[in-house]
Amino acid sequence: MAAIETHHLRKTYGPKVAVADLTLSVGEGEVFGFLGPNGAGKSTVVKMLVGLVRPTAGEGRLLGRPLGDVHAKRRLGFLPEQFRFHEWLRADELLDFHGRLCGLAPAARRRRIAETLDLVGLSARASDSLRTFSKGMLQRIGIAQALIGDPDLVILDEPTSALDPIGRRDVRDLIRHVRSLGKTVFLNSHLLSEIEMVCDRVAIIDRGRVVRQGALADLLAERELDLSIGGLTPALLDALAARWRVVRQNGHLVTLALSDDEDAPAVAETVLAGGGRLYAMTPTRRSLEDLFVQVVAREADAVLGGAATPRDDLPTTPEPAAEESR
Amino acid sequence: MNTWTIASLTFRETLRRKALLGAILLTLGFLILFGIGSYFAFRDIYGNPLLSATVRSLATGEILLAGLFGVANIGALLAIFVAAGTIATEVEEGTLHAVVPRPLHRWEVVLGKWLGFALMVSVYVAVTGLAASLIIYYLTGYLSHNLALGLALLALKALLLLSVSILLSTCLPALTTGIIAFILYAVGNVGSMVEQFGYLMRNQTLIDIGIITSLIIPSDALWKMAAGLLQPPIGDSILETLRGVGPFSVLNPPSVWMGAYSVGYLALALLGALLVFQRRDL
Repeated sequence: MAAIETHHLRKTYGPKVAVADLTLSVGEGEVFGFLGPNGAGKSTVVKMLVGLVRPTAGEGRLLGRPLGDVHAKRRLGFLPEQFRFHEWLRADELLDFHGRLCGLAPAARRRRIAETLDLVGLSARASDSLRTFSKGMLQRIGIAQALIGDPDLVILDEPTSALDPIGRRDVRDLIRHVRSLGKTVFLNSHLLSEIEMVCDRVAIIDRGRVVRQGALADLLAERELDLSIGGLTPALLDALAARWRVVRQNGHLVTLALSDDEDAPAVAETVLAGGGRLYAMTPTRRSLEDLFVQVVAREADAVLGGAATPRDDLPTTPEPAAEESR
Repeated sequence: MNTWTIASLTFRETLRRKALLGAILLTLGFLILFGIGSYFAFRDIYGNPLLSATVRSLATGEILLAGLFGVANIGALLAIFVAAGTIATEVEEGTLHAVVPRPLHRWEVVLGKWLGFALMVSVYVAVTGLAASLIIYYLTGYLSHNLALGLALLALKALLLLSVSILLSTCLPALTTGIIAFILYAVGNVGSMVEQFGYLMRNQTLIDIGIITSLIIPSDALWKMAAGLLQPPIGDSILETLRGVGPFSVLNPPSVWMGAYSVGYLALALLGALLVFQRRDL
């Protein structure tokens, strides 16, 4: 059974389409990264998953139950993106409140409060008012709050955006710890390096649709090889293109996509056999950022008719009326 | 159970935040002034051998009701202002974003908040109303036989405005909620005065205006019912009309139907709040 499953989930606010058509599947026990440019509809998706926002159409299941179901929510932990806890509470009181809402008995509550405070490194501040907490400490108490009910599925919405590098590393360790307990983590973040470091699978969404989804290892498996070739002829280029995908070519500079590192010597042989002079050959590993930029830029190109426009200049107008609306 | 958890958090919040502390200190000041004023008023009234028992009763009623009028209005304003921001602000600040995904129904959140505030406002009205009544009892020996019911009606007035404010707060920003609830409350008070003048002047139009206002917002009808129960009896149907002259005494307390209407109004406002919040996107 999938921890999260959505089928054609859609949310519109009047004429504005926040999420167009989202089909997604998150397996149990995996750390799932949810990526997308600003305004792609990520937050709305998260809000629909946890029952804060009602989908306009489509359906979703959380831990096998429909969205908003109380039984599923019992096994869910959630850290909202923009949250402000009741600041007049003490750290342990906040956790006690959420523990009660999770239905934990007093003894279990006391134990979980101690455990989660210890996990996020705030045991010493248990009886301090949240008002005295720094941003990073609030983020950590937020994570403790998400974990208090010992959930099977943890949804973290931008958990590291307020943190310094040390704090981010701590959160990464926490996520790995949660995974080691066999729990599912759904991580919404725009920090690609974070996702790359902890996630098993990712989905990239743009304009409310999944544009790429898969295991991180598979998505990043494709290597690239930068070549500097003297005497590059069209025939030689064709010979290379016949065996490998040409990512780009600019004068004597050629970039090929390889599926296997072992192909590099074969590339060299092909160049030499075709009469080319090989000045440089540099293998590069594709980072998640490269993939993200490539995928999102391609989407933008498709929409804007090939113009290579930076993302920030994209109009935020709603999708064309091709969408059926209810 | 969840409702109670939210209610207890809400109640503790009002205790721990400075707002209630301010209200309590000001109320203490109000009760002290009320006691001192009443003491000197009654010294003159009871010291004057020319005043009949009826006039003394009327005066006692006026002074007691002046104090309770203060209690009822502070209670009502407290209800409006603690509730005005509650849902709206917590949605805006994201405080509820961590609470609603918990295994609970959304209506439990609203009902819990209502209960927490209702408890606070009721305790406030009961304690201060009782204090004002005991001050008068100490000075004159008068204590209404219907004290409990009267104070309950005063608290109900505050709870009515609390429910309206919470309903508005589920769909409007805090400031707008506060302004609309306050205007409704003021309209209720003025309409009720107009009605009393109507009875005094035997002017049906004024009476009708008052009745219509009470239907729009029956908060002041509850005050009048409470005042009718709490004021000392006069026992003279002709002198009874003198009650219409004073600003606080009540000539024609609303019928029990008005009371039932108010309770229904309160329940509908609360139910509306639960339903609106149940469906709303956060």
